[in-house]
Amino acid sequence: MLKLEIRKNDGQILELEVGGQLLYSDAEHFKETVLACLKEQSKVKVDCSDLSFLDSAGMGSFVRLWKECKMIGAELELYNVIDDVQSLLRIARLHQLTRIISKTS
Amino acid sequence: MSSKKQAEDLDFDKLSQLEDRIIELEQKLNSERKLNEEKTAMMRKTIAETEDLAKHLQNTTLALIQERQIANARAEKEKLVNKWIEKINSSFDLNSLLKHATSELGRFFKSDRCGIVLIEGGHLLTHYETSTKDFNREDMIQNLDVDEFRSNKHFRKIFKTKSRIVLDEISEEGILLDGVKTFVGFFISIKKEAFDGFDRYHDTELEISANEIVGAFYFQQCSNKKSWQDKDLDLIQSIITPLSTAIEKTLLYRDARKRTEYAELLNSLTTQIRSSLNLSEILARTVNELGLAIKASRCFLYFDGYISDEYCEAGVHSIADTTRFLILDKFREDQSFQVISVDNLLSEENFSRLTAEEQEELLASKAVSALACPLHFQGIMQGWIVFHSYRRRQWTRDEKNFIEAAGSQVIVAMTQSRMYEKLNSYQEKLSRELKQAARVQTSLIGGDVFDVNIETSVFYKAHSNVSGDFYWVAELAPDKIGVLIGDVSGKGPAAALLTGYLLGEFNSAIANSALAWFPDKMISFLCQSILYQNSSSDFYATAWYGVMDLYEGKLRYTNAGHLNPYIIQNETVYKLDGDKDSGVPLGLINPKEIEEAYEAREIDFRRGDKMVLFTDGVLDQKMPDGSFVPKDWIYKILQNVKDRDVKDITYELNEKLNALSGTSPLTDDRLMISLEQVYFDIYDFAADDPKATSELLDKIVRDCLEQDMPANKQLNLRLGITEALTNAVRYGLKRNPYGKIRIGYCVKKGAFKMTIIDPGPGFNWQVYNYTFIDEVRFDNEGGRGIPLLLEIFDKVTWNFMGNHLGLFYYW
Repeated sequence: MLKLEIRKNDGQILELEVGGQLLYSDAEHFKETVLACLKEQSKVKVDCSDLSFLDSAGMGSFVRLWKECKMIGAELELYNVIDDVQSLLRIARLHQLTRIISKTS
Repeated sequence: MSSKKQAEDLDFDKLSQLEDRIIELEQKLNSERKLNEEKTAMMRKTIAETEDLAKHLQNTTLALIQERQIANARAEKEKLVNKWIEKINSSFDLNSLLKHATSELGRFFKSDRCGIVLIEGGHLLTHYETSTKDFNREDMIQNLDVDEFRSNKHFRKIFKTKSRIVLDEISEEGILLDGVKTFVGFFISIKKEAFDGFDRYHDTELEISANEIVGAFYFQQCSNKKSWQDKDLDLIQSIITPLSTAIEKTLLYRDARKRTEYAELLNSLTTQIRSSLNLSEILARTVNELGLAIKASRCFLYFDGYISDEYCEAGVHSIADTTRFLILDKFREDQSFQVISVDNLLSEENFSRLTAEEQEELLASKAVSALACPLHFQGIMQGWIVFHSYRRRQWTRDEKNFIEAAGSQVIVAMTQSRMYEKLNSYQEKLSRELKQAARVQTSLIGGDVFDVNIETSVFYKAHSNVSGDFYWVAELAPDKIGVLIGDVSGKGPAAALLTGYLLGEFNSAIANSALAWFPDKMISFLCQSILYQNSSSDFYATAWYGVMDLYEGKLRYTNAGHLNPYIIQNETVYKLDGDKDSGVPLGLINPKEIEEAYEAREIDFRRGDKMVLFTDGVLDQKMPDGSFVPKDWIYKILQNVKDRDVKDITYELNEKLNALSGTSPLTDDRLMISLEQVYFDIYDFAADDPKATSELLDKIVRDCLEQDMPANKQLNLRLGITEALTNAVRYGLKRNPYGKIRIGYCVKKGAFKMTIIDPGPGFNWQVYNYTFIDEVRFDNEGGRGIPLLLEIFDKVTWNFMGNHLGLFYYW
């Protein structure tokens, strides 16, 4: 199950928390929710500390978010990313999509 | 007195008468006296004559006695001589003969020295001398040269005049006659064609023919002068002929023995060097055996400026590391392959032929005499066998012949060895390549079915390294197994190449089309391929190809001349199609020209059913009595093992076949395949339920970890299965939301297989342009599902419709 929370949205920074599993079944919900919050922020930070798994649809959601951020000139940052999620992104060759900060660092 | 009495009685007349009577009587008396005197004189004469006669008789008797005494003495000598001749005739050894002759005769004639010298073809054959203790000069004469005898005027005279010389009083200097006061020499001549010890030549100076051995038998008196009696000289002269005969006999015997020895040595050497095919062993044996046989100081093999192997007599140093020149090459008269021999390398004439470096090398080698035999093969010089002698030595013709014969044996052995080594190296290379080919072929044949859907067991043994038998078991689609078995005519590399070609064609058909799903079409395709190939060869192949549909429980198959497999079904063993026509082998017909050239048949083949396929190497295996495996043998074996698992079936078949064939070698390639359908359960699954999916994933991962899957592989497996299930839901339930997704999976050690069937129209994989994850643009939101499946799973298959997915994951 996906857990999604908008932590902060002050017009400059949009800060999200994603947990659980980001799968095909929740991908549309993720995109609708997050993209609706995007205005003219300069930075979008996604806390992935509780994200344990994602499939290709979940990965597609991140790609969509990255593309939207790019359009408004916002910087996308995925942080607290656990190793498994990083591995999944690496399998899909998405590990260089944006700034990814691992949970341990 | 009576006359006086008569005168007294008578007168004068009577006296006168008396007187007359007296006168008459006187006259008578005188006459008688005269007669008596005459008689006396005669008597005296007779006595004188008798005395003379007696004296004469006495003298005659004395003379007779003397003559008898002389005759007796002569007879005694002759007797001794005859006895001696008998003795020397019994000797077969030249040295003991000469020793005996010189010592016996020397002693008999009370000579201080007695000797014999024999010269053969300008060489000193032998010189033997015995002497009394006081006049022994053994040390001085042991190395005498033939020229000493040739140049000595007395010996020279004997040789030239071919007669004896008697010198009662001489005073000579020079080693031969120094201190000798009396010298007697007898000429010896032995003419015989058979002698072949040395290279002979006609000695024009001494007029000695090439076929002649000449010599002198001599007596020397040193202590005092000796006056030789003619009768002694004659006696000795009479001995010379039998002595010559005895010498001739020993020489013949010596030559025959030497030749026999050389023949034996040659045989022994030939046996020894021919018994090995190891070149270094041959060369080492050659120098050792020949060095010993020739009694050389050194024997070595010389090849292009270096010595490969060397034998050195005790006390002789090695020159292997220092030799650069074949010095004897300088003494080669032409470029022919003749043995070169030099008796005296250090003679002025010979030594001067060498360069300064060669001279230095020769002196360092300490060789005085040398012999070299060329080693040549098919007109090409290969090297030399060289013999060195530390002392002057005349190489005999027999030695040269022996070395020449030995050399030819050595070069044959060397050539054989080199050919063997070459062949060996070629064979090793070929064997290596064949083994590599066998490994490649083993990896080529087989297939990619991991024992998940079916149990398979294969026994495969090539008759040669590589085989003409082939098989392939492949997952054509999920739950569709293609089984191909066949046998290319012939064996070995050519047959193996054709199997490679056939399997290549087969695999390309599997990969690129749905052809492989239809056995008759596949067999026709392979037949067409091999027919094309046959334009340049005359090979053909038998093949049996079947497609097992595990989901439907069917087996569709087509046979092209191959042996029909056996089926084990419901406890029953039977031969598929019995003895029906098994079709035409591949490559013999053009299937396009013949309608329905190959026929596809179908039988039920469900869970638990087994099939045993094999090639003709099984049935053509010869028994020890030369017969073949009985026709119903496989059936009988299978009857006994039908309940066993497939591995046991294959094992038993092979073991029983081995037991049956006993010590008979493998007749042909042997290939046996046993298959059993062990299809797993397929059940409905709520793939659209995240909780159910999560539980399924947890269970699968747990099952795989229990089968030793590395922990770091679980994330990928999870992602792959998630993607597959998501696809089934997305596309399978899109138009049919109430349809059911069916899944099944199986985990074994090292492998996981999953089947996912959705009710949708199917994924058109036939036209899907296979995209791998690397090729997906990173800014694409979608399009990663299939690429991720291909990235994660080892094999991904679909059924024809594309709604039946098969996934394989190995670790």
